[in-house]
Amino acid sequence: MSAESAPALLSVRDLRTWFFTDQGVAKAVDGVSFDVRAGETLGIVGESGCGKTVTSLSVLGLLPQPPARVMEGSSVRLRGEELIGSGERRMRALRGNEISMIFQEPMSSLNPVYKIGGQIAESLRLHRGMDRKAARAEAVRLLAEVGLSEPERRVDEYPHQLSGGMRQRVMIAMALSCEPSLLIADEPTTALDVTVQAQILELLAELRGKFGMAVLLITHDLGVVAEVCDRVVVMYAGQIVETGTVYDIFGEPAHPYTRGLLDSLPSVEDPGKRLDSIPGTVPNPIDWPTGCRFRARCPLATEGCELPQDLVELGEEGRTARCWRAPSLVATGAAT
Amino acid sequence: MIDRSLPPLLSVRGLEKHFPLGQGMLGRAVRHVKAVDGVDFAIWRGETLGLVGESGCGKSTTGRAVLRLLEPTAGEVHYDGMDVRALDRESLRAFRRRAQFVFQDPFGSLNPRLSVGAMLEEVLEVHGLGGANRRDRAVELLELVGLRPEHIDRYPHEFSGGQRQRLGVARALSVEPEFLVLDEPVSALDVSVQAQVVNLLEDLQAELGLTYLFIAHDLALVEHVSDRVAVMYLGRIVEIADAANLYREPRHPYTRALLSAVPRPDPVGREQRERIVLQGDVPSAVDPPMGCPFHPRCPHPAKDDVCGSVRPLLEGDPGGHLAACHYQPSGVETST
Repeated sequence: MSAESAPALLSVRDLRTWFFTDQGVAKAVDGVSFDVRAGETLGIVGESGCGKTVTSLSVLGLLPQPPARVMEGSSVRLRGEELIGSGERRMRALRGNEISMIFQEPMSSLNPVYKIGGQIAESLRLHRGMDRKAARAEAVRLLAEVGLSEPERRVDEYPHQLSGGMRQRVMIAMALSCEPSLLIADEPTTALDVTVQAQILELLAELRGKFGMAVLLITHDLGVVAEVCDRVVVMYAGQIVETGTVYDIFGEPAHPYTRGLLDSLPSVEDPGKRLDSIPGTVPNPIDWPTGCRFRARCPLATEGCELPQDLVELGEEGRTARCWRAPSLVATGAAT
Repeated sequence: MIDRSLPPLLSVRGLEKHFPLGQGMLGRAVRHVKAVDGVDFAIWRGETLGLVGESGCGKSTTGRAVLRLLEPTAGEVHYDGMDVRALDRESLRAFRRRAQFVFQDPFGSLNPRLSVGAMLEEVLEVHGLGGANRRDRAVELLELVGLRPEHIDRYPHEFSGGQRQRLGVARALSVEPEFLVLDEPVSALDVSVQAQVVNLLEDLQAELGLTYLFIAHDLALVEHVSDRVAVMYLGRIVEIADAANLYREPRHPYTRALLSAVPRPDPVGREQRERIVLQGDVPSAVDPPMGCPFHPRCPHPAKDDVCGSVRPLLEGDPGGHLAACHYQPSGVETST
């Protein structure tokens, strides 16, 4: 409740990030709008190629342009400040300060030839102006904060000496070093084993409570979304197809794609039950289908679906679906 | 149907696979990675045994050693009365016609220069199958796995991930095997496509009477496909039981922790959910702990010196629910 009335920390409006390639224009993100409110965890969920990662990289200003181009009319505001076109200098100041990020493969985000302590200290000296000694002490404190055992010893180790879970903890320690107000986590646990994933998710929840930061979680894993998110954005073919609270999305999915995704998972109550699959594959971003982009795979497609679909409001604030039939689908779903 | 009063189709006893680590003096390996370190299990005709565990637990190596894609270091593998480890080249080839392997990465296991037709015809030729009608047989195989006849002249790169995995299955089925080792067959695929391939595997099993060893890290998926499930940790099976029993009444502390760590795609009641978060990482398989391999991380309240010195055997209900823990709940049937 409190989160809903809070002003948006991050506000993305009509974000369109296109890639200009030899094969054509790939409209990877094609008109995406959402808010992240202070202190909340918003999940962006979707399958590969839906545009969820390009969305997060666009927010961070981390896409090489060209081939990517953030199209005119796109807006990304952090506390009201427009980030699109604000320049690399300003973005550098914000990244690692106001906004931090962690990625799927921590090994590729860590420099293999430097000790981890030095890498954390570097960001502390850069962003918080600490001297060498203070930065090292703070690095040890941060490593302890993220639950790394023996931080005084670990601080002098190299990335390859750590396990995958420990590396992700180091990344989180770096991300937290400037107490950001927004953490963007792109598939932070995808490369990890399930017991390590549980450790990292617990750590993130704990730190979120402690520092009150908002988290934008990008993932394909519906289980992870259900465990940690307050609100959810479902993406398909470069667009948002559904938004709502985590309870709305899992309890009463309104878009046929969201329903299909959930039905593709083994049932918790009846594990042997045959899976309902979504036929076909994700369309090509160079040539998105006209009208509803999910139409060709949708079991409910009918006349009217060949028209472009807008996000339809479904009662409560922030509850939308990109399907003209959604209001009636939700109504019938609620009747059962 | 599955008849467990008959002898099992595959029976594995004391299976070990140790990999030498570097070279010592005089070219002798000094240390070994004990990837598989004494594994026992059996699979009956027509059933699916799920083999789960986290990365590095030895599940894939077990699957490979069973088919002698990797030569076991020690132990017995019997297939339909045949001593698999004693087979010479010729009889090994005959064995491989009955028992096939499906790899995780369908792209990496398909020759990019061969059209689908050429690939399938080559396999048939190697095994002396299909005669003059190899192309017809290839078309049949494509249709069997849900692809179209006109796909026969296409190359692997022209297929989506799900279609490539279908090709991997078609290739395995080309020799009309009765047993398949499926190594993470759907983990590289998106959720919606995963469901398609899982349904295909289940249909094929029913239609052709196949027996599966299904290796995966996705616990919900393994519960869905398996009749029985074996859980591996550090090269050993720590628990094996009917899928329903294992998931409802796990006896080994590791299985309990593993199951509790799986994120559930249902946010309702998530705050109340009890989760056993294990501390630390999996120890090295070069120098596994004495006694029970899990004892350093085990949260069991009864843990004592015995756990650190005596290796627990797989025991429990004869032929039923077995666990390798000194302090597992006694074989009493708990309330259902």
